[in-house]
Amino acid sequence: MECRAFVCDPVCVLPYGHNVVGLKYFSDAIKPFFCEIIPIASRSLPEHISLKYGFEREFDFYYHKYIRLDKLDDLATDIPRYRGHDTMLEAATRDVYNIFAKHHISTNDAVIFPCVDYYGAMGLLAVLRKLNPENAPTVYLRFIGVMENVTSFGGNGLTIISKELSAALSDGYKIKLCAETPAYADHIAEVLGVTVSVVPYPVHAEFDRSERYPGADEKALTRNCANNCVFNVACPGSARLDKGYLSLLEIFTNIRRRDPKQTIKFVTQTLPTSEALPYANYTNQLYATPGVKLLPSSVSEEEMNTLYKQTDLVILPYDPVIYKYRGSAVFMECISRGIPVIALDGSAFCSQIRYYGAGTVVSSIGELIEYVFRYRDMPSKTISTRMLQARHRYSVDSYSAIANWIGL
Amino acid sequence: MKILFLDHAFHKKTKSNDFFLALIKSNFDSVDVEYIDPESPSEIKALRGHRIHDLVILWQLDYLAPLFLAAGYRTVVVPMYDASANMPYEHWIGMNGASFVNFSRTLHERVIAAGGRSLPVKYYLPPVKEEQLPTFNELRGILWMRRPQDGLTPKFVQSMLGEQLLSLHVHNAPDDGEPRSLNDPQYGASAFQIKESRWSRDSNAYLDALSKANVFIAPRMSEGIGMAMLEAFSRGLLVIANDDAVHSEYVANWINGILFNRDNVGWMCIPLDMARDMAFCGWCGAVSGYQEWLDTRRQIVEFIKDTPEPTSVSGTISPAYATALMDAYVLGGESYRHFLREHVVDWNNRDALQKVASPLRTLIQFETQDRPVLDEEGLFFGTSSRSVCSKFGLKAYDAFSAILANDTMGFSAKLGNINDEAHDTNIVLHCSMLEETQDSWSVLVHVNRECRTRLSLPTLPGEFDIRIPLNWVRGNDLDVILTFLNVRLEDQIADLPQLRFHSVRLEELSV
Repeated sequence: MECRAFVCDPVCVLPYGHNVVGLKYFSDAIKPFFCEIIPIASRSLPEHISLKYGFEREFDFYYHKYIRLDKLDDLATDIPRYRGHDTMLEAATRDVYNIFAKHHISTNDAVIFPCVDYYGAMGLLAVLRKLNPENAPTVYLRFIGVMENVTSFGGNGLTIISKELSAALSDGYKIKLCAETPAYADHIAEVLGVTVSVVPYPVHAEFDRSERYPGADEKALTRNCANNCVFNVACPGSARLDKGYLSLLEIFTNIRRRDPKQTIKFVTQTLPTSEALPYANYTNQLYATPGVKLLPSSVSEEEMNTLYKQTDLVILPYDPVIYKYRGSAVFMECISRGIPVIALDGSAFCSQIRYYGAGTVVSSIGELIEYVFRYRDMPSKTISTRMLQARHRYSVDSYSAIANWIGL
Repeated sequence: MKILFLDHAFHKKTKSNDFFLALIKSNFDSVDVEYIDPESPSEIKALRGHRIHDLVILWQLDYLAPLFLAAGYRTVVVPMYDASANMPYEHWIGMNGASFVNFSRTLHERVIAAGGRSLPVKYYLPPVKEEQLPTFNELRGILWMRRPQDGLTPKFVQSMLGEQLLSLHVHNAPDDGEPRSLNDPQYGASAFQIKESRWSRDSNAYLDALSKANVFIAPRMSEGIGMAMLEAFSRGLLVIANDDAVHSEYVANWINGILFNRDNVGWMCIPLDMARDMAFCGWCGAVSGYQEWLDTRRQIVEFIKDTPEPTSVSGTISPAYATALMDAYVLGGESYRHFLREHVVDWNNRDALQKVASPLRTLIQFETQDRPVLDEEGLFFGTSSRSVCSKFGLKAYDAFSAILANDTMGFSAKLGNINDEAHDTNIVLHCSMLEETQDSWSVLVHVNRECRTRLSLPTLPGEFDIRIPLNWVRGNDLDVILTFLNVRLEDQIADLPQLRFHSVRLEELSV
């Protein structure tokens, strides 16, 4: 067993969203397998967030072109800007080198990237290759199909990483790979010619369906929502065009037309300010639809937790092309918490929804609308029982997957 | 907490803000109310003398916020979409430090993009009971003809709905001018029965008619809050409104009402059952919306209480500066924008601009690089859009001129098209000495950091020109600085000459 695990996410930079909680959850999930866990984020992550979670801040930020930081008050304003691929890669390599030097990382240690990004991975591989394989730490890379593809020069990052990885593997470096979804694991296995595990998001939250009905008793849990209660449907996570933001109006208005008394209510976040202005009229129509609540594009972790607690059903009308290989952190949050989801078929995480029975996969927006009504009309106890079972199976698999990946 | 509530004089008549003022009065110890008419501005008492209020609330008078912020007031702005929809982004950036209670989501989004603090709220009126909802055996319309000049007339309703309407009640009470004759083909319609009412003291004909109608045509192209529309929702009428805020923030098209495009309106087929369902959906929205509004009231009060102290405080605001701002606002979009760029938005305040959303900041910073072009037509020193930029050392602006306020003043402009022999060109500043000066003054002129001329000022009142030779200026950007020197009183502080700067132009000299 390696002694120390350095859990790295150079893209952990925004105080909200998936990366902060992802770094936290993975650091927690692998604790049983290491003596010490050192989570490392970007230097641009607000200090109070890093202090709250015990993250070190060692990485520069390499993705200004794709992720805008500069409208946030409390972020560092003097972030160096890099032009072109080489300086970015140099910066990432320098950062990884400094981490290795500062912590005297050796063969007894593990370096884990729970969501691989291009520059982080390339910097790591560059530093690794300067060590003899027998002196190098074990490296664990988890691919989620997002930032590993992103380069400053527009090229496909995964292709470049794959070549470097192949070379490093054939040179005998200890590198263990996994991906978030089965589809993506199979894809990477095919590209690299090695086996790739599937490691979903670790289960972290309590199963809290009863919290949605404070003081709930058996009677409350068996009531049928079509009779006289509000059924809350949410689209949590950062509202984005590729997450089906532009399908929401069709969904909300068609349901509202059939349900004018608002037995079903909706909550969604809106687009980030930097993207929102061209869609102002569209968002106004969401806002005008009775029974729709709009949240800002970014909400705190506490607000997100509150939202989950009040939610009966989550809809994920994600773009199947963009999410062909990708998982959904929201889906994994939902299965942890016992909230069923409805997703459009084609995204990689749909196979997980089907396999665990954690919701329903539909082929069209029309079908999605029908299923919202079906879930509303389903006894709460039925949903609760199903989700408890789904969570149980997912939890066992998730734990086993992590243990298997780490190599026990 | 002692509150000053400043409101547009028009609301004395409409009383459309009574509900908000009542909320403020019931939650704060002391509330003083003043009304201002932007068209005939008078001095704002609160900006003179001893300060007695802890916080100011500006209802629709957004443009005054920079004054109160600069004076150190905690400032709350309640902008109205119909008044502020076309304001430039400098308008919103210039109010950074204020808190906004926004009855329009569209404006909320603009404030947030400009880096401001905003609470979006949605107002609803108490709904009638379900058994009081109108029937939909036929369609009976109501139109309050508030803005016939915008074309919202019975004739327009006819082109949209035609004989589907059994009747149309026209509340013929325009905001401006006399009621229009419905016999005039410009306004009238013949496809349905028309009844007419006006304001009267002893009865509320409008509300009576509203209770008999089931289709409501919104009376204005856009709204700040849309009280008439909200009244219609609360009574279960089918709302039909122009597709602009705030209508489009309450009406989901063909779900709880219908939006039309005034510039491209066509025939609208509305089956009775669909009309009934949409109206019912609108009323259900009013039921839930009203409950949410009751909860929102506490949020508004807390939001106001949490309004931060302004960070960039100038202290006392000179009446001249306040007048210049108000003049620029009344002059219209470009002049107002120019004034904001010159005197309100601090482009060097990195912290403030940091809050502005990136695309907007890029746009604005790009635009700030455009200097006004100085040519033979000339530019002014006031607040109008045809003025030089980056002015300093001046005060008491009006639209076209300003008075010297410091012993150094300056401005920037872009050089217009002149021939290659720029050395034969002068910049001519047209000025006037307002009072006789006992001292002898000279002025030293630098253009782009090079001294170009030194000359004496007249001592007697009257107009005169300062001519500055442009010898071999490189590039097109001009930065001009004038330093005023008192030639007799070397060790004493002399009063500045009362010098008004009017205009600057290029003058080509004949060779």
